[in-house]
Amino acid sequence: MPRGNLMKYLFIAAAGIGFVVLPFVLKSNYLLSIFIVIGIYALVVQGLGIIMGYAGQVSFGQAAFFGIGAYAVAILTTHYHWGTIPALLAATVLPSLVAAVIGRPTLKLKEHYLALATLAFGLLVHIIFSEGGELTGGPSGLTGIPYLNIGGFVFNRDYKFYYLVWAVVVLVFLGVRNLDRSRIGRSLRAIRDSEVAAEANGINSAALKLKAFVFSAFLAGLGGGIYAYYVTFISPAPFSFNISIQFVLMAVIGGLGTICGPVLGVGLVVALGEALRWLVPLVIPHAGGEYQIIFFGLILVLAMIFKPEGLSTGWRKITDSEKAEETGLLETSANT
Amino acid sequence: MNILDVNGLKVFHGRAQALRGVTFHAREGEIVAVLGANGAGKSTLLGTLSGIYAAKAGEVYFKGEPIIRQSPGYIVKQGLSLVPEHRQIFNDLTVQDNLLLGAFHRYIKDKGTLSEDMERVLGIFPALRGRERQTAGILSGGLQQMLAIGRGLMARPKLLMLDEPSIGLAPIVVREIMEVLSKLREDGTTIILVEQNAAAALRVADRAIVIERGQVIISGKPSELVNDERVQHAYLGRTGGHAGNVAVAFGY
Ligand SMILES: Nc1ncnc2c1ncn2[C@@H]1O[C@H](COP(=O)(O)OP(=O)(O)OP(=O)(O)O)[C@@H](O)[C@H]1O
Ligand SMILES: [Mg+2]
Repeated sequence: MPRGNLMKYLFIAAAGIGFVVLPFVLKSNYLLSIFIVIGIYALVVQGLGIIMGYAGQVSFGQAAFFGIGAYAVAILTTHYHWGTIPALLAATVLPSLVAAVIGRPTLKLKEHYLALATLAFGLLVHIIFSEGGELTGGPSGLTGIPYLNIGGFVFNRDYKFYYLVWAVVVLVFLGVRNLDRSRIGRSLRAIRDSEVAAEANGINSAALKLKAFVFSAFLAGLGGGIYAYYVTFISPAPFSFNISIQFVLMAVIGGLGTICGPVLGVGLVVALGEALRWLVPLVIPHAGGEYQIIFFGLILVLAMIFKPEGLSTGWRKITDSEKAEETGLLETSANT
Repeated sequence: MNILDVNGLKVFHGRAQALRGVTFHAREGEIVAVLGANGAGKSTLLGTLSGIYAAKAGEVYFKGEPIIRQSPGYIVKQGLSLVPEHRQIFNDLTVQDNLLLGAFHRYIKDKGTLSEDMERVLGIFPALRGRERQTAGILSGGLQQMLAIGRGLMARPKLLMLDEPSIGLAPIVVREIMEVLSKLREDGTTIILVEQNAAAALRVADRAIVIERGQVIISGKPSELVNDERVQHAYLGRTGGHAGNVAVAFGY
């Protein structure tokens, strides 16, 4: 056990040092930008993992919440010249409020109404982005988002953004880990295991699931706000239904209800997406973007079949998951 | 004094009526066995008393207070606790966390008493001792049932309701659990015990009721029920072992 802990800390230290020195090692801005996007997506997927992993509900609206956060920053900074802190605040509060409105009626119902509601919501929001006229800039979007500026420190270079994003990822990671160990986290896991028993013990599952859903939208909005500041121009495309599916895939691959999972899931899916972008044209010269969604859909199905608990659960290996035999039970009873 | 009074309780699952006017009571400090065939409405009854299912009509008084439209959280707080069917322990959580969540309603306010209560539960179920940090899902069936009961006790119930605690367990474990229930009653806890295993339930019960198709068809002392041919009838043809052999099992 102490040996395992040592290995764990060594690994964390190595990963930490790796992340800090990465911008100096990477020669290409392209790779650095990929790491930034991975960090941003990890926030969004962390949120999705909370509603999927803890509350056991699928949300197909995560890209829409991500988009609302991004458009909040874009609109408020370009049209109304808001500063960074209030704009980012709006980017998180707005999706949270919307989530509360959608979640209240749907999360009370036992079946997968949340999946349906968020699917419709995601499509609707995407239309609003595209047809929003001057406010959203229509299909071509909004340009000229200023640099992120905290107390006069301007994030005008990729490596600065890289540190900012990953600092936020680590903070969120720590926050979620605390949540996981809190009374709320235990209660959420209890609901996942047995909603009846949770209710019977006085846990209000509908209220708790709503909180989880609002928090998931909060994280998506935070990611979206940072994303808008990073790319400085936005259009409806990165917030479409396809992206919501990718977020679900990332969450599932990373492992639901886990804490490192999102980073792992996002990393793998982004790497795969980039690889596909390279490889597929070599094989099928005129292939469009559709192949990607087919391919990801296939992976999602395979992941659900072969590793439904996700990849990151390999870390905390469950050794004795086999239930003890009735004989073991008899022994313990006889001993007492 | 009656700790629980139920009058004309009617409950629907969707359009299907599961309870058709159930009336019964429990006196303070007794064990009431609730018997009945599959689908009779036993679990629906317990679920409604806990506030998980909504009743269409009827009254429920707990310690003289109406609790019929109250939330499960409120009802647990009043001292009415349910150990649900199929154990329903929280598989991914540790034994300790399972127990702590049983005391959910005073988790924050009353932290000091939690370890005291946990100690009491471990005293009642010594087989759980030393396993506090184990994941509940890997426990054997018997230990899981003990954990489920322990979790129910963490709420400090005045009235504990158990839904088929003996199902799937070895006879020796069933006996152990029944002994615990007798002991709890001696300490003043009232118990409602839903069982398929009529023989085991009637052995510890002070009174019993039999439910058939959502109605109480018989109530009385175990010794009366054991020889009642309607009880034999209600149990005939199901779950092999107990069918029709209630009296034999008792040696009456
Ligand atoms: N959630 C539900 N939705 C719809 N119908 C239900 C539901 N729960 C129970 N029922 C129906 O209500 C009736 C009573 O079921 P209940 O579970 O209360 O019976 P029971 O006496 O506990 O049976 P068992 O011995 O099998 O546990 C049955 O006909 C059952 O099919
Ligand atoms: Mg039942």
